[in-house]
Amino acid sequence: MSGEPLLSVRDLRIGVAGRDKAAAFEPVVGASLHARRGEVVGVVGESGSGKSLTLRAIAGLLPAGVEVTGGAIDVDGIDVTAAGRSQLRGMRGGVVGMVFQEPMTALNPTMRIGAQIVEAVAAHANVSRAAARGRSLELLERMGFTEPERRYRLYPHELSGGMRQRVMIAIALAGEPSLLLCDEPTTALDATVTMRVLDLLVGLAADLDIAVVLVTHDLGVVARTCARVVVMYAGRMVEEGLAADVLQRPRHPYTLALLRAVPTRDATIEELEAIPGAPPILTAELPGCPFAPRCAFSEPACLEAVRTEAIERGRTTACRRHELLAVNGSLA
Amino acid sequence: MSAPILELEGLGVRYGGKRRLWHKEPPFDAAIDVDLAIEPGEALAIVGESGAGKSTMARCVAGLQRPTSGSIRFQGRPLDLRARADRRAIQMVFQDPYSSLNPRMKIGAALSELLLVNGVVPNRAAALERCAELLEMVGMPVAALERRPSAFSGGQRQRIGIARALAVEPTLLVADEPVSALDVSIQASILLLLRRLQRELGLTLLFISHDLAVVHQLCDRVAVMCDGRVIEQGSVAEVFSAPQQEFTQQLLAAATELPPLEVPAEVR
Repeated sequence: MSGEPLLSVRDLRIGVAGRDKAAAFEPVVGASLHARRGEVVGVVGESGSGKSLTLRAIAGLLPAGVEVTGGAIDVDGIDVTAAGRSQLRGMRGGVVGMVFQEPMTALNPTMRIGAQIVEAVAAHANVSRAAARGRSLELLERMGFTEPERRYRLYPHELSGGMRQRVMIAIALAGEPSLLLCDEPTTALDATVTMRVLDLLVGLAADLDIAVVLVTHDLGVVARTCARVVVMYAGRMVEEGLAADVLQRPRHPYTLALLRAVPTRDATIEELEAIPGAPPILTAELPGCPFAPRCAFSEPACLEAVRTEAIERGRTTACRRHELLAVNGSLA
Repeated sequence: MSAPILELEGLGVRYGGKRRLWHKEPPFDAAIDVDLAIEPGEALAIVGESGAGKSTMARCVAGLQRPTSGSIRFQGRPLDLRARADRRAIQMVFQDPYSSLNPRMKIGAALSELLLVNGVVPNRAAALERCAELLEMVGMPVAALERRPSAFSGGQRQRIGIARALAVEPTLLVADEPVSALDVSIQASILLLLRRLQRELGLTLLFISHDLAVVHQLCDRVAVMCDGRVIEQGSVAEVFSAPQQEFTQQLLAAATELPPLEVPAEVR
């Protein structure tokens, strides 16, 4: 967990071209993210916070009409924003593996799962059929499948949601990537299955010494799996730090509001707090803090400019008044 | 203890088992021998994993699914879905608020149609008035009446879905995973809304969920389902603090709890 980060995203901006200038907007404005080998990093935020787009940009998989308009993405020495199509093709699968939310739509329903894993293995290594098959069985076993030979012959519809997601992870790992990107991998799964898939991801990061970036809206998932976490809001990074720190001692009012909105088993519903208002519309220019209009701690200056500050090593917040949230802080 | 408003006795739902050309389809039991009772004004949760039969139960109660065995008694009489009174008295809120609203109809038109068809209001003018009241009740601006579902976010659509269910003044509200498609911050506001409505209108709530923390906050009693059977039921406090069944224990262990917040006292 030391040395140069494998993935580093700095001040990433992503723009969507509109029919005219007025329709164009930037869903991501200044996202930064770093991940080292052996580490699981969480990216949390609500729908529309830009977390999934950031992840897609890292894999060079932005949809048509959506472009990186600023900042830098560096994956294991590859400058993704400047890379050409063939370089990106080589990177995807070989350096970067990706797991999507919906395993049923990502798998081919007419192919046995074994064949799909073999296809992924063969695409990245010049191996014989037998060797590819052996490697696929090995991957299935690594994913926690009992009797891999029998599972190998099954079709996606014969598997449960959790098994499908594990097959997806196997395919993503077929090219032996050093970075695994997961976009809401457990959202469609049951709690007990979620737990198993998450524990698998944590184990993979450590055993294979790969970096895992996990995009999720579930703070419980972050608490369970991530060493570090980045909180996003309205396309901006609002807070970053060790997951244990951020979840227990948030230093951005948005993180605090999000944590308070999570139902827990030892609180009553009266303690549950909804966040007032709605996220900003991203077509408008926002010079200040995007959360300020909904924030209980905001002051007029918050609407004018944002400053991202490092509080301690590896811990940053985009709140000017973060000291109000510090345990020994005082009210200004 | 007053008489239960809803009683399920030995309820079972079996799919398949039909004779095909060459073989007989193996039957599948989505629900087996379910006994449940809800008191008036109570919030009962059904929890379990996907495929446990939770939604099947909800659909039976709402009359969207015909049970293959057992009986449902509502307000002391067998539930009769041909009677408009019973259909009106039980309303459902669905998981996906988008597919449960007609995308072509303005919210006002959809709600007033419902009010007029069910004879809740005598005329169109009264219907519009009532629509405005309903929207206010769920915390939506009256201007929403003139817009179509596509103009709203998931949380707003769910509010409209709740307004739709409440339009015909039900006594029992069946909510099938009403917040699982929503973001956390919005989830909280919908839960608070359901709680407030339940208290203010004296609604009885049958709440289907896989999220134990949500159930803990909203419901009085809980029934745990596994493979079509109710394996454990009791008060939320009882079941969550001392689960008797191994499956319930697993379910509780799988729910990740966040560490307690450490923020200054003024902030709290």
